[in-house]
Amino acid sequence: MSHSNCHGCSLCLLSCPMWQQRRDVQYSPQGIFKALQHNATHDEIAPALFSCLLCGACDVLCPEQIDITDMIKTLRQEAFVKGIEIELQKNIESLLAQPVAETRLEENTIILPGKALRSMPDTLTKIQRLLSNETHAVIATDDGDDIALALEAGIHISEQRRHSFLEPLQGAKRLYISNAHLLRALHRWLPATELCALGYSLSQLNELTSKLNKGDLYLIEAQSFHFDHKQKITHYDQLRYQQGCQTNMDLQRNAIPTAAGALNTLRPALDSTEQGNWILSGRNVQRIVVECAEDGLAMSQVTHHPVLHIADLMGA
Amino acid sequence: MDKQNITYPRNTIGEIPPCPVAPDSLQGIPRQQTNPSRWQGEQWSAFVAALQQANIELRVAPHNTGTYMTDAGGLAYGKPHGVVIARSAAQIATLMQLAQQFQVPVTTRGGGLTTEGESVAFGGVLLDMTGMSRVLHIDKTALTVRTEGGIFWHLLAEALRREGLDYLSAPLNLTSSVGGTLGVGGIDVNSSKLGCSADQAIALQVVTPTGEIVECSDEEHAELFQRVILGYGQFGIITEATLRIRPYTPLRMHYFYYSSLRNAVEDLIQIDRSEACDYSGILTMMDRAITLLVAFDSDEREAEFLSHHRKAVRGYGELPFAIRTAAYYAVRPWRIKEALYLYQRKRELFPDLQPAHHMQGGQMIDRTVVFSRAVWKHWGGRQMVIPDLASSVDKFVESVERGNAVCKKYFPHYTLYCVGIKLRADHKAHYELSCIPPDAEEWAYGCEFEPMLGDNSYSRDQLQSFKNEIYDIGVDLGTSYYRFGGMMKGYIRRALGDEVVEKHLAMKRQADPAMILNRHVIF
Repeated sequence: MSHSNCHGCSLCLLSCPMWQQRRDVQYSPQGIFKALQHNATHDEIAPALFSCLLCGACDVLCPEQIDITDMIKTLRQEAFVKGIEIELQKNIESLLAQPVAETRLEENTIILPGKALRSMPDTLTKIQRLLSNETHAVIATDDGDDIALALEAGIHISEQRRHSFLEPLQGAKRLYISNAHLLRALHRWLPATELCALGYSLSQLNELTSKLNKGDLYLIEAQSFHFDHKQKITHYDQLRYQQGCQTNMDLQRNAIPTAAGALNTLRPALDSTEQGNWILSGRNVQRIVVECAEDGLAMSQVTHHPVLHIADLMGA
Repeated sequence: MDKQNITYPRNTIGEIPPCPVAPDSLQGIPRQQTNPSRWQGEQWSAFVAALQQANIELRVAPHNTGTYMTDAGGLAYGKPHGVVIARSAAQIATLMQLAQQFQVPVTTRGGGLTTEGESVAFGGVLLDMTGMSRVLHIDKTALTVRTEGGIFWHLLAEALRREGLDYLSAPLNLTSSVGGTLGVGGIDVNSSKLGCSADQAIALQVVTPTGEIVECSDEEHAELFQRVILGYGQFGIITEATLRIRPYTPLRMHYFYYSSLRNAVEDLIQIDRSEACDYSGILTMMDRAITLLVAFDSDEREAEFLSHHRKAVRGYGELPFAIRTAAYYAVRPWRIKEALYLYQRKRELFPDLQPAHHMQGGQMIDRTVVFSRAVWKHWGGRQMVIPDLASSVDKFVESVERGNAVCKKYFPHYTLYCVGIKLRADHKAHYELSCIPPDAEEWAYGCEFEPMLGDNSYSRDQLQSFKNEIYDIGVDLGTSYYRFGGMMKGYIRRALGDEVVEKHLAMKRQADPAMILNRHVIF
């Protein structure tokens, strides 16, 4: 499937946060692909390309089953090769960590929490405890935040850096990964390892979800949800019905993302406040529970209600 | 001239690029104007300069204009000279004033879900109304919503559902826009009870073709209101609309299966007359497999139907129908292909009509999402032709049967979608020169004939012949059509008569002296 398969049905617009904010078809997968069908240059579509949150909702909706997010990542890579957004490229390349010799971790279960969760040591400890039922779960020293950002932006990652990131993980049987871009890449890089989305895994723990109630707005982490929509939709629907909580799912059963993605945080293209307000609009909630720490930070900027990580429901 | 040496200016505001066909294909021959009624770019540069002065952004790059090259039908192709994204009534008013002054055509587009090229611009300005697509105010007490006209019905539903509310009726297509729908009708499976979408509108903010911003309703500027509702975009651009809404309810669904089209259609009409259900419609897979959908807003309504009206319905439940159909084909082995098609269609389509994540406790919670996604997945494609007949109750059975025979002649597989439309006696004036047939009383009925084009390749001629043959039935029977604009506008006078068309044309000339707004769509 390629951009030429888009026949302009506009379904992708309906869950697209980029289009929702701009109300301009140029800022949508359809707009990008239609422009390409009419010989647009990378330069001409760059503003839309680099505004996309890669939330993946469009992948679920597209009746032509175009792999839209992968295509946008490829287009970003091509844009960099053509010298477009050179400052952004330099900026992200400078954030890529220098490869260091890492030793392989001995534990079977490793958690890659990401930067925001690392700054919440109490929560992280709870997560470690929750996920250590069978074997002791350890926190990875290098959880590849820089790699996740590079993947999202479409920046080339050197073989050495990739190797230094993967080497400590090679012995693990199971990885819990917070970042969805990293999760997708690890499916290719470590095909034999059991890879779990951290938030989704926590949402499967009854001791946590039983604490949810109808005053809660439960924020599903959008990227990993859409990546595996068919499997996860049933789980979240059950969660919603059983606990009576609200979720950030729209009528299409896609998760409305926050604008807390790493690229949008580094170089804001979408208004984080507007996105948070849309998630909250018309809802009567007392508390917001998030799967992803970055989403929690974004939501705490737009509401006076308590915002807590799902792991913090432990003992709550 | 060497084609390779021709360079076309990119993003050149105010200049129309040279025709890419002319230099090599018509070497040495002056280009002939073969369609003198089409606008040919006169005064474009001056118009663009005036737009710039008024701070109205106009996009003219090929990738901007190419985005709007065709509509959902995928058969009409045309390009605007420039695109304006709608942002406010004031912006549109200025645009229209300048367009009148310089006689530049303006084509409005919402979801672009026309099939006959009505939302395709053949030159001039394309005004993309989706730029104005926000919900402005929800009145929970009065049960009304004020929204911008370019909003997709689905996004309106998103906002309303957060408040436990829903719209009344809307097309079963997520990306239809409110403004576009109010201009042509809008049919839902509850239209037999609640009427067409256009009848939900209480008030509109309209930008007239000459650039005035006018609030209109049945009480205020009633004549403009009458003309804009079901007016095919001829008398104004709907920038805001106040619509009636209702508390949200999930659907209790029942499907009845028929092997006789006539029986199914007669039952549909009877059920609508009895007002025993809240939703009804027919969807066919083929002549021998016709589905009558009946649904309810409450358990009480459902129970009442099952105890008092179910017996009169001649359709079967799913299992009895499957047994009867299997028995039918068992003694007709030469029709095995037909049986296999039915089985395959049922296996593919039925799960998508009842997806688990849009159902709860056996009730459908998002009918538009379910039906619309199924429509795009199973009927959508690069090309769609959906001719239709809109008739009075008395003529409906014959319309459907004759249309069905035409479908059978042209295509191996097709779908019929039939639904009733409750009419409002006080809206007679709205219905003039519209899809509502002039002889319809209380209810009108519509049937869409949609071939399953799939990956097959059909020539434009074949598709056009098919549409013509369906519409010829309408001329013969004296019906109207939902899709009577664009490529099918030749039928308007034949079906509805010169007198009413001349009357509306005179009103159009008065309202739009330069005849610039949605030019060529119906006049």
